[in-house]
Amino acid sequence: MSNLPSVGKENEYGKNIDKCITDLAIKVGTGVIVGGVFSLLFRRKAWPMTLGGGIGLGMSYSNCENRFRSHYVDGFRLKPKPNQPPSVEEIPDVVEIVQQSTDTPSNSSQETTSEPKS
Amino acid sequence: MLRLGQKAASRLQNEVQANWIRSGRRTLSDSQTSAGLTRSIIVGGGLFACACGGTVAYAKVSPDFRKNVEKNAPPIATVFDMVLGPSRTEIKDKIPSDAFKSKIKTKSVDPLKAPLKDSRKVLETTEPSNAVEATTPPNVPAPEITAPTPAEQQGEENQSLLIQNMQNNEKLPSDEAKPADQEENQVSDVKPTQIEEVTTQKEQQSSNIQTSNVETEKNDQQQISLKTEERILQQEVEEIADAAATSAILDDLLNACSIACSNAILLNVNAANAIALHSSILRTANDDFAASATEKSLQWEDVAHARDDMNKAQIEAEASFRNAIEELAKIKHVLQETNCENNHDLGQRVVDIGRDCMNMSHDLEEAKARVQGKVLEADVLKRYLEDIEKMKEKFQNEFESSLPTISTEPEWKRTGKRVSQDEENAMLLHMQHRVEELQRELSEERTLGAERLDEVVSSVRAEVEDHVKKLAELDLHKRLEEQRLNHEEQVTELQRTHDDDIRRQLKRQASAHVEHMSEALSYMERQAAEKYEKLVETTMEEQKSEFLVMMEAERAANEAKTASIIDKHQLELEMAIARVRGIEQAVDGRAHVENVTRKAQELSLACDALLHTIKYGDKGKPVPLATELTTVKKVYDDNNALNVFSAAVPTEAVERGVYTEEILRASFRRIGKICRRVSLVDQNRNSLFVYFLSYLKSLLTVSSAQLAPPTEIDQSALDVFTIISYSNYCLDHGNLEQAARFVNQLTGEPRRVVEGWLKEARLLLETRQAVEALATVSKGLVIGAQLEK
Repeated sequence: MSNLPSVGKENEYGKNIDKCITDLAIKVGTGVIVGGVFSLLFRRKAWPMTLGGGIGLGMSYSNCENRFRSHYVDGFRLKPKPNQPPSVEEIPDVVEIVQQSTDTPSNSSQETTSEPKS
Repeated sequence: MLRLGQKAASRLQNEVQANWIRSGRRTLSDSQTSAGLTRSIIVGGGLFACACGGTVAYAKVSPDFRKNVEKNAPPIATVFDMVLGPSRTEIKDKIPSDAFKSKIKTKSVDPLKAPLKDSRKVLETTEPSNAVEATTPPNVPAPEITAPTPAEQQGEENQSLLIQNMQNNEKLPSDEAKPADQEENQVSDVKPTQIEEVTTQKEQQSSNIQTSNVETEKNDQQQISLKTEERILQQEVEEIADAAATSAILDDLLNACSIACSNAILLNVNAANAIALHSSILRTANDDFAASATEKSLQWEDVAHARDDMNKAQIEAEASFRNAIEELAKIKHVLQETNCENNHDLGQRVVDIGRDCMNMSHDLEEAKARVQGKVLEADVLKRYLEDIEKMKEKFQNEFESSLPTISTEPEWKRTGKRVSQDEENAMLLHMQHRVEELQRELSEERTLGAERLDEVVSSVRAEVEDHVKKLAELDLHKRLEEQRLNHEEQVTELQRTHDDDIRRQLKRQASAHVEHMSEALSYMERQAAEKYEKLVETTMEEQKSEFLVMMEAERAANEAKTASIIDKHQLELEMAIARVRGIEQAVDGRAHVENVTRKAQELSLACDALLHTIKYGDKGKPVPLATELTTVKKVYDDNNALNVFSAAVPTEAVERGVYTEEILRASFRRIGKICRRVSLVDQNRNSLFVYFLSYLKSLLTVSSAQLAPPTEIDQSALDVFTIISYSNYCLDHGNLEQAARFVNQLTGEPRRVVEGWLKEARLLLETRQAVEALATVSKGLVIGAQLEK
């Protein structure tokens, strides 16, 4: 698996998941620590820590969601749809290409190959 | 508050204690630092003293070290001189006799024996004699010393004169030493200059010889004469060196001798003076009755000192006298050994030095005689004093024996007892008797003394006559010596002039001979040259004519031969050309056929390479197809189809390359999984919750990995899972095209995930199509080429 090259964006999902998890851990931890510091001022109560942890969790959740959505939503606006693949009718004939490139139709008629199946 | 106060108080107390302790430590450290300072000063001073002592001791042991230190730091030299005394090198400079002895030892062998024997064989020495004349130093002014007369009345004056002369003489030798050194240097300078002159002359002569080497017969004789001249000059040079060396040696010896003699004379004079002084002091000490006791004791002390000085002076005089005699003997020995048959100036010098030595020895002996005279005087005085003492004692004894009751003067004076009148009368009577007796004795003595004096006078006269005779003999001998020396001088002078004349004549003759020889040689050379030139011309003419005739014959023969050869070769050449033309035509036809087949083969190979690259790549990595395509183009430039199809290969494949089918297949597995996980996500539903739901769905949905797609597809029934299954199936069966078609039906987030893969798949399909077309064309061409054969 590791030897396979990445053709396109298939690894992005995994990377985003990893980032979310690390972000979560950091934010929750930081929140808990800050809450713990604040709890010292409030006579050693537990609620600042939970508050901090919760704030961290929420921040990491929203970060993660934005990260996954970034391709569709730009801030709060929808991004325009990406290009669709060309439709069947738009693919040009090889024969036409050949005729365009050469100026001798007799030669081209002799050497035309099978049309590609589309 | 109280507690606070108590705490504060306790803290304050602690602080104070800490400060006190700290200050205590500081004071301790202060005292410690001061004590440490003195200790360090003491240690430093001790080390410095040790260093100084060590350097002084090492300088004493090793003179090289001392020299180095003195060179680098001159003030330290004064310290060294104070502590250790002057260095040995300085002392060595001040003692010339040792150096001269060593010089005599080294030089007495070489220059006096061997080279002078060689010089006897040589006839002429003109230039070196002139040079040596220039280097003879002035004569030692010894004749000044021959003045003093032997009479004792003029003894003191002569001694003073002599001392002055000795001092002058001392100065002169020391001055002479310097000019002698300078002259030695001059001699040594003159020697090399002479040698240089001689060598330059030789070089000139040798260069002349070299320039004249080109000519023929006269060179040999010239060379011989020149060689003899060279040898003569060499010997002259040697003689110069020898003469200079001997004169230097003689100068050195003379200096040493004069110094030793003057030293000896001075010391002898000193001894004589010391003896005279001693006797005079003794006389005054004995005769001076009026002096008090302390003065008397002082006088007797002076006498003792004078006696010590006298003894010392005598010893020194003896030693110096012996030394001077040794020196004189040495110089006489050297003079006898110097052989100066050929060097008249050296002989003159030898004579002068001999004269000086003789004078010096005379002076030495005179001084010695004077000393001895003084010694005799001292003996006389001693005897006189002894007699006086004896008389005194006798009188004392008589006095005591005649008048034993009366005690001696000091006792009487001490006790203060008055002598009685009788005793006084007796004493006076005795005195009178004694005086009359003494007067009678005196008159007797006077008469006897007159007789004795007459006797002594006569004996002395005889002695004086003998002495005068001896002196006369000595004088005569001296005059004879002088005359002999003069005679020798004149003889040497005459010899020298005679030798000069003969040398000049011989030189003239030699030069005339050489001129005559050179003229004869040049005439003969001219004659020979003319003859040989004529001979050479005639022979050259003959040879030339013969050679021309021979050349003509040879040329004719050669021309005939070459004509025949040319004809033969022409024929052969034409035949060969015809054959070659036939071969060429056959080969051209063959080459065309071969070319066509080769090109077709190459093309097929290139296309195979392309296919291979597409199929396998570089272990999975995409390989740019640019090189292969250019190869194809190179092989078949003019074929339209090939150009078209190679142009149809997409540019990205040409530049970057394509992924192989294997890789796409392998990567699709992962991609398919990811698509399943994000199956519910699309543009409208893309919150995190949806992601979670789609993940959950993927976990819970059971779908086979591969599903065979049906022949008819219902588009509404297609969802992510089925699409993925169909695509997997198609891929496993090698139908990439169909798989791509299925994958194309995805939408939303799965579509995004799969986009890259799809692009790569399309690229691969396009490239494969173009390359297969190329391959087909190339196969057709190959078949065509085969048919052409």
